[in-house]
Amino acid sequence: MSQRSTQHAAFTLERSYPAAPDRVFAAWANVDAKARWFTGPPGEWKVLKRELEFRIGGREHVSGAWAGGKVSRFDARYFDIVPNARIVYAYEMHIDDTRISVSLATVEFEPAGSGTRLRVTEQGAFLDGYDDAGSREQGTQALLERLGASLRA
Amino acid sequence: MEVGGDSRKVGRVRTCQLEPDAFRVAETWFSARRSAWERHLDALGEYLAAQDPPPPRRKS
Repeated sequence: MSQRSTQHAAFTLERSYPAAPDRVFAAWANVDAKARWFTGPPGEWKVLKRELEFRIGGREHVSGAWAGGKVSRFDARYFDIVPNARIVYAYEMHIDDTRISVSLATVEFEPAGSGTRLRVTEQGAFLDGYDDAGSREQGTQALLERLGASLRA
Repeated sequence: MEVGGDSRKVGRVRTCQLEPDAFRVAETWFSARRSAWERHLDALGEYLAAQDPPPPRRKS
């Protein structure tokens, strides 16, 4: 695709976990813990390299190969870290050598009873209409479900 | 709604046609990122549950 285009999107997701904020935060701060859940779909994606410097100004890199052969790269830089409360990082995504998006992610940890309410906000610029490799089908499915829901409303 | 689409006016009626590709591409990216996050946050919940310390034993 040679035509240049930019699309912007922002969304927020919220989850509650029955674990205290320090334990939920630790799952983002430690490279071995984060490798357990920040990964591609099992059987469809295999990690190639993973690095995490969890400090303000530090970088994170995760790359992996999709079953179809494409390689995805996630490169982030941490701008704000408040222990057990907030993480702000910016990241770019590449598929093979093509940059497909640049995003800002904000993660907020709030005590809720003995557990944690987690809020993730992503604000992104999606570049030139490239596919997001394996997740495309999933995304289309979600789109169709929302379309169906809006038609029933 | 005219971004990436076509619009024409005949008398008092303006007909807008949305360019399906532009709409589809942005929506697909948005949905893909969102479902990737859903998957990560589900996996985080499973990881945290697996880390749960065993319940304290009652002293008898």
